[in-house]
Amino acid sequence: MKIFQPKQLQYLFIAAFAFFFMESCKPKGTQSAATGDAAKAYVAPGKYDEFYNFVSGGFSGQMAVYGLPSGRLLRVIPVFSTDPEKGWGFSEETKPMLNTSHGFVPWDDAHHPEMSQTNGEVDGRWVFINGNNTPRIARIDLTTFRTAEILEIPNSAGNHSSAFVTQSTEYVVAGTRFSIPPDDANGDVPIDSYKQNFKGNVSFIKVDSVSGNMNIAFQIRTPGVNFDLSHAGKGNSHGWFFFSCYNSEQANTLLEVNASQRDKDFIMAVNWKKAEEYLKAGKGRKQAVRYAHNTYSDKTHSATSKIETEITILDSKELADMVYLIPCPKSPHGCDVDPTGEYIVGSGKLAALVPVFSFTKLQKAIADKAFDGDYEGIPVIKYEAALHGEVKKPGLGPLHTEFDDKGNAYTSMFVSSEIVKWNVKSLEIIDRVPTYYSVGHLMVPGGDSRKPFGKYLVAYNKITKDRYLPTGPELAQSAQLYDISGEKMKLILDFPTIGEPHYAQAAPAGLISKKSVKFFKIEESEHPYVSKGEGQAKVTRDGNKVHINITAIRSHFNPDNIEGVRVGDEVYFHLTNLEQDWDVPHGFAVKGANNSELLVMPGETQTLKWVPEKSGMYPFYCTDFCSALHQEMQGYIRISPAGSSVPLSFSTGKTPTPAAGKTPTPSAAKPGTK
Amino acid sequence: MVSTGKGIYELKCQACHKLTEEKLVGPGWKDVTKTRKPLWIMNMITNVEMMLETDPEAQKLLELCMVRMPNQNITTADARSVVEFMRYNDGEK
Repeated sequence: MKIFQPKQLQYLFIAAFAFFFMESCKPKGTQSAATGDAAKAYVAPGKYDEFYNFVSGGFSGQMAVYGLPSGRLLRVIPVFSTDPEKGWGFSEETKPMLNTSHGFVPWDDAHHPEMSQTNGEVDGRWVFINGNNTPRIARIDLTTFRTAEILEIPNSAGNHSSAFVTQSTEYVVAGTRFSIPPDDANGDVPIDSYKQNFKGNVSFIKVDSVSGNMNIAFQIRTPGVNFDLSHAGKGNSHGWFFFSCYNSEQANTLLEVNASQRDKDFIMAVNWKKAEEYLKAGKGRKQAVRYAHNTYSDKTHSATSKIETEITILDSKELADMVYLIPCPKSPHGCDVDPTGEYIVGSGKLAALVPVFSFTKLQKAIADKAFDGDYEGIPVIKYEAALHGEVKKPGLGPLHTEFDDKGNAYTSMFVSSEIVKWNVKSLEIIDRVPTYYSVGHLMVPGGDSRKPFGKYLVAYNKITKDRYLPTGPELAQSAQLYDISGEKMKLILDFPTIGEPHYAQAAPAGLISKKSVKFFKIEESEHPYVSKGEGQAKVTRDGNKVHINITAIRSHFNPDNIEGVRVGDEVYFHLTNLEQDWDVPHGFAVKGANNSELLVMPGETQTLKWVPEKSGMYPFYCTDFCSALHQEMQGYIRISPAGSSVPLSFSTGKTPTPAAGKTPTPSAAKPGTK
Repeated sequence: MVSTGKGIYELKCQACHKLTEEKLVGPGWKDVTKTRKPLWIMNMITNVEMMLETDPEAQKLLELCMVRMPNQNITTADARSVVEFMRYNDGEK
């Protein structure tokens, strides 16, 4: 838009010339090398990143969104933990999102985001993520970048092997890291009765293909092992799901030692198409349970929480051909399926090799009944019968594997702090590169789908130590970005993350950016307390409840003078942001409120509940700098004692006319000033 | 058209513009259709960023009001209705 004057053009020309000159004789040595690699992660000011990167916030309970390759933090989406900055879990509208069968839970531990897929490719519609501690699955809507739904998982504890999807998002799965007595059984039993009373469960949650709404279709009851991670089959193996499990010893104490006794644990292969048949044939058993199902509506701008009371169980012991166990060395962690769907990689944390199983061989082994007995009624496949081969001496502590689009796999090595690149078919190691330090998960954009974008890889590390300037005993966790477009992996960027990053996902920016909502159309709001225009702003009393329908637009509130509210009242500020333009939120805070602020997007209404405890004068103001007159965006609410007869009144812009006569100016009142 | 325009006014404009001459956040609307051309008003409603960038009259108003008029995402058809409502407000039949 800017018009260049002739003089400026001249300077520009000189600058361009200088740039060319420098390019043509760039210095050799370390400086140029650093410049070269850094340039790959450089996104010029005002330019966009190539990928959105959705990273679990771990014990922050949230999900972070970064741009790749720049590593810019674009947004932190509150999911399972309250966020006073955004009013998440504080506003009346969002509180129901954190409701559970245990009541309001303000925190969780979010581990594995998984993007929705269509035909095995990331489609940019939703991200699912698990709450580990109080088992839940959340669905984040990528048009608003907000949590749209949270579903609690019954019969479950330590919801770890979640939230992975089937190739067209028919299902998102959840699993139990802790086996426990089922919810309808008496849990008040001796802990050492584990083998009799404790059960595992994996849940298949149906996802509505249009709305994305989740409902638990069925749970598969399993022996009391610990499920760790999972991934869906795809292509030929579509219809199957693979879960890694450890503690096949069924130890209930000192698992560090006792769950590492057996030489092999299992990858559990679930034929979910078969499970669907059993469900249809009525082979499931109904179980009475209680779990919360919370949904957020962009029409009412409010969440509702419903307690569901029933679930269908399919028992792995009773129903044949539905579940098989593949032996997998030494407490497998990652369970990853290559883009073709043929190869299933199990990563034994304590193993000195990485076994790769073949889906074709697995099918043959099942047909030939190449079994090694059973484990609590589930056939155990002969290890060699399903094995494609082993990656020998990959490194120490293999955890997770992602894939590129050229037939290569990348496995994270926790103990030896490195990423190892190997060929899926030949199992030969191609390259290895250090991480800083102790890498956990790793991620290639689309790297667990049928269509990986093999340009970048990000390592999400567990230990930071000396990577950044020290910040006391607690450090941000580090992530490292590698260029994997060539044969050799190249470290190009190091950036800090929020909470603890576990798994992550990424998708080309164009899949998501175009659909991003800029504001909510106020005409379409169905919020019960919306003010569609300042004419609808009002204050009403209903017993001891005072509802204040208040509007915000640059830069005033309506009303901004409120009187007649008393101690003992419950005050509800229903703030409607009347703006209809992108990036003009208004905030709202009132002095002394035992609550957070509100941060209200254009066209949205959000409610702050406040129970004033003392009579007096309480200012409120806009917390989000909105215009040159933002500092003027303020108001007062007068709180009178209980039983006061001050009438309820409200106004904006009705300043009393100044009394006639001269008003002394401050300078006149002060002797000694000029 | 006038009643449609009135509805849009109450939802999206009233917070800053009075129907009298009094300036609130923005100028009052009384006689706006007599001092400004309809095209200018339409541009201010539907394309305020461009107007504040290029139109001297719009820039003068910004200096006076010190708040950038927000884009309230009003369609061209709706802006027409708003102009009709302004005309009605200015006493035109």
